[in-house]
Amino acid sequence: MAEYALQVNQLTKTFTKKHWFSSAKSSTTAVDNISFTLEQGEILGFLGANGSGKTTTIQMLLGVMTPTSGNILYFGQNLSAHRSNILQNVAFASSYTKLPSRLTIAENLDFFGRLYGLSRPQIKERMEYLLKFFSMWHMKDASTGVLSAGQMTRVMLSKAFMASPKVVLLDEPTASLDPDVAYDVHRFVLHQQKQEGVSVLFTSHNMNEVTEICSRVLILQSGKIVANDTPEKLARSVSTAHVSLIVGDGLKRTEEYAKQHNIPYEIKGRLIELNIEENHIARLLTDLARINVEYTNISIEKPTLEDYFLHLVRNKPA
Amino acid sequence: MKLYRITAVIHRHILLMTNEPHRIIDMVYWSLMDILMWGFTSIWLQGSADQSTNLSLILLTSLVLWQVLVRTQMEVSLCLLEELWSRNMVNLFSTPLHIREWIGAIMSVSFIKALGIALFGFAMVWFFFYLSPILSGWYLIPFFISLVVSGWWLGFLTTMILVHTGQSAQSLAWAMGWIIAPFSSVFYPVSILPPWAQYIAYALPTTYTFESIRSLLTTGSIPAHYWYMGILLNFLYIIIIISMFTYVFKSSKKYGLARLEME
Repeated sequence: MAEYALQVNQLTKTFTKKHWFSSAKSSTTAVDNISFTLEQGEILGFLGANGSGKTTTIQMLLGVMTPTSGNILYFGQNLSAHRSNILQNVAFASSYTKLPSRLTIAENLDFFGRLYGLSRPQIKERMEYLLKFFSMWHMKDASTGVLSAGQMTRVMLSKAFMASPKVVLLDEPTASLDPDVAYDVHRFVLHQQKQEGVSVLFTSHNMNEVTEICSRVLILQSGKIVANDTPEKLARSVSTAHVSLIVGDGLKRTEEYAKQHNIPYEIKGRLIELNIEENHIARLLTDLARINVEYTNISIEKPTLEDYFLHLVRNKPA
Repeated sequence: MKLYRITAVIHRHILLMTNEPHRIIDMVYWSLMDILMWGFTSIWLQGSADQSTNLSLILLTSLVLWQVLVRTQMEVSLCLLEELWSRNMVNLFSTPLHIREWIGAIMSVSFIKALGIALFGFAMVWFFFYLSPILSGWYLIPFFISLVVSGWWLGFLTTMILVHTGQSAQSLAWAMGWIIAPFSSVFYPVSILPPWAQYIAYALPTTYTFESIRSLLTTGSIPAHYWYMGILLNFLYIIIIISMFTYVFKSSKKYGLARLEME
């Protein structure tokens, strides 16, 4: 059996709250018996709506929260038994944590380099490479307290890759970045995967970036994994397509038609967007011709990962 | 245990201090003000006291060594608060750093700062009042170490509460040292305390340390049982409290360390 970079078995986290002055307890299951693997050199998307259990799972994967049950193995070793050895090769970056604001970028990176046992020349070399890549080298002596959210995210990514980890957990690393910087981050993550064989667990709310860089996607809903496949296959499982028409004559008739057939639609000026099952598109176009609707432009968009995600969220069982 | 991880944490906390000189000023300012206030008060009291007793020397030596204890306790607590304020707990403890290594580093940082405050205090006592507690000889070293150890267990007791309750209890970082002050007989003999307070006083290693300092400076000798009791209680408390702190830290992972970063 191939050794996985990360193997999660039946992981569960339940928060139990005891009430004062009574023996009553209430409990919430944030992560419910999930199992998954991360292959060596794989970039795995980890998606879920807010409150789905992503952050709780990541905290358990980092060893800063103890699971209620289940186990976490990195390269076949159990995290609870070999914490320090494992974390020597695991790194983490999030848009939601910070670094001591009274230290400079260089001092913060130096500190994390030292924690991982890097020598002074290794720290210097790695720091220069990473900060130059993220266009932050000129700011290395700036205090982290004065950085913008985007700059802080780049420093956090530099921190995560300081010790050349084998597994990196990235929690919404591009959340506050401009598109060009986000593009650089994608490029960097893909480069680390291809050249260094780094395995990445990548969470994001941006479905386009997940589709672009992740070879596989897990979707978490109410603490359970509800999907585990490639972004393309997940998108294909949604049959709804988007049909956009710029209507010259018959906009009202098109709207009436959509209402009669319960087709979700949106009107923007002369443009009408209809969300319709792929196999009903031909019928739609025929019917529009029959009721004399004239359109000057038509575009049909295939379902995306975002459609799949929205489909899941909207059809979430109560 | 890896020494490089311990030195990394020490280096980082020293940098936090040197990057902001006002932190050093904060540290020495209150120390200097206390020395001046108590120094002049003791000179005034000396006039009406038994002239054979060097009241100023006793009070100022006790004061400087009390500052050692309070500084050590505060530094231990502030090292944790620094991580909470900078929302750095998850970053820090998702590295290979072990809690034992962090404890070792924090003890070292607080020891360095306590040594700094002791040297500064004794220098100021000499500079302003021409009194030299150093004349007490090598005895100052075990007194200093004893009070640093007391500061450690008091500091980790505070830190344990912070890890359990989060930042809402942060004012304890400044207040905890003073909880034992009335019972530790820092400036007066334990015999003047009411009987109920003497029970508490004799359960504190600090009482034996300060009684020993007074005994040394007045009679030139220290009763042997003061030494033994001070060492025994300090040893007992540091073992119990660090074990409890480690347990509470590990237990707090049940709710996740990120919870502690929330204000």
